[in-house]
Amino acid sequence: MSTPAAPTPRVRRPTAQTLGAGAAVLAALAVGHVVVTAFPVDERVQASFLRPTVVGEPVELRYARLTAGEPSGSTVLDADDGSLLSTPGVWLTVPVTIEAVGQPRTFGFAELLGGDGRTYTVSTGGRSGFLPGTAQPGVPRYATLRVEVPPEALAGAHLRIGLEQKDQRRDDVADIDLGLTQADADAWAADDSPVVAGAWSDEPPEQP
Amino acid sequence: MSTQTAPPTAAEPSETGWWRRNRWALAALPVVLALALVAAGDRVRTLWWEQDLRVPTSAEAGTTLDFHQRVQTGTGGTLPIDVEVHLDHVGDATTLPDDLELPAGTRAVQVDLTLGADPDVVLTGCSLAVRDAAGTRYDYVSNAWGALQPVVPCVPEDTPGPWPSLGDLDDVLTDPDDPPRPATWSVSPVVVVPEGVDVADVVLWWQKPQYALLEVPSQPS
Repeated sequence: MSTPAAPTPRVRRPTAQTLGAGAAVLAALAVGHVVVTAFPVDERVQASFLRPTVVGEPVELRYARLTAGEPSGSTVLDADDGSLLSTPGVWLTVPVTIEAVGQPRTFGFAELLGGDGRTYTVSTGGRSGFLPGTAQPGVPRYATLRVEVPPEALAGAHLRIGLEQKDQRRDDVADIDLGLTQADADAWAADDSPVVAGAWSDEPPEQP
Repeated sequence: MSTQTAPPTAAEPSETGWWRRNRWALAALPVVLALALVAAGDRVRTLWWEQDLRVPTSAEAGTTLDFHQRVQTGTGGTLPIDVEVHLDHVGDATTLPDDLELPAGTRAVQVDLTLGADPDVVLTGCSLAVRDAAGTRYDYVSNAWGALQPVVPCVPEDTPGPWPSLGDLDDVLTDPDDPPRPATWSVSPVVVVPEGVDVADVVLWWQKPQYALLEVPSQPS
């Protein structure tokens, strides 16, 4: 038997339902974390749409039709402005034809994925460069990309070209297999006859 | 023997209680979802909507178009664009700009415009293009193919009128003796287009996404 005790502060115990709900929330968070980390969702959502092609084959991009010509290389580059640039590596040049679609387009992005696993930037200043200017629709634009790389980067190298220099997410990017071999790299690393990479033009380059 | 517990009346309110207890949160849920979508979509405007010509102000072929817009300046303010535009004629350029060498497979199209605006309206940031029936846009380029045309295609080259303010530099950069821009004037920029392209309209813009759309009267064939 007991007399009513003095009123004590009542401690509210969590019910089984509350505990179950808490556990369910934690489980949902854990499952979500596993899903996001096990599958690279972010990377896939943001990834560029790579459009593979090879030398000489036009590739249709959202904003242009692009064709890479036969690459060439040497240890000396003739920039067609009176200067010759030499390198202890190799100057790789790739003629590119751009046919803009829909409206004038200014290509700002290019990089070389070397066969050595490294990425060589082309369009962020320095001696390498790709400046095709603004191409008008229906008027093919001819430009030559130049990039300075070590010879071991050449075999198996891919060239990537896109519109925005700073942001290629969720947009088309051409992925060009240059078809280069170790034999090309060895020959170019021993060659000192200049390769020419002049300014862009709307006239087709003269065939050698 | 267990003691008698209270009759199970406590279970009754919980049957309808969850919806009732959470009614304010439930009412707010659609609003919160809508706000979340809007907040997540803020870059749709800056990265997509404002990157192209999307909001036309158009006029019937042969009539004069009144175009009004407030454009953002680089210094955080806005400037009014108030201009009247009339498309006089579009056709093959009779005289090419000096030193223009047309690339193979192209032709030069001359766009004759008559414009009117108060002399103190800043109009120097304008761009001009022609489009074909499919909407493909061919821009006016002042420095291309060997020729140098006026940098701004829609104002008189000698009397372009005021430039956007650069603060204290204005006194240095502007000459008070410069003649003002006339109340109305004509310009004839030349645009290079591929052969076989028929110009369906002329577009003029100061800041995307708004633009002035001038339809070309259908040519008698």
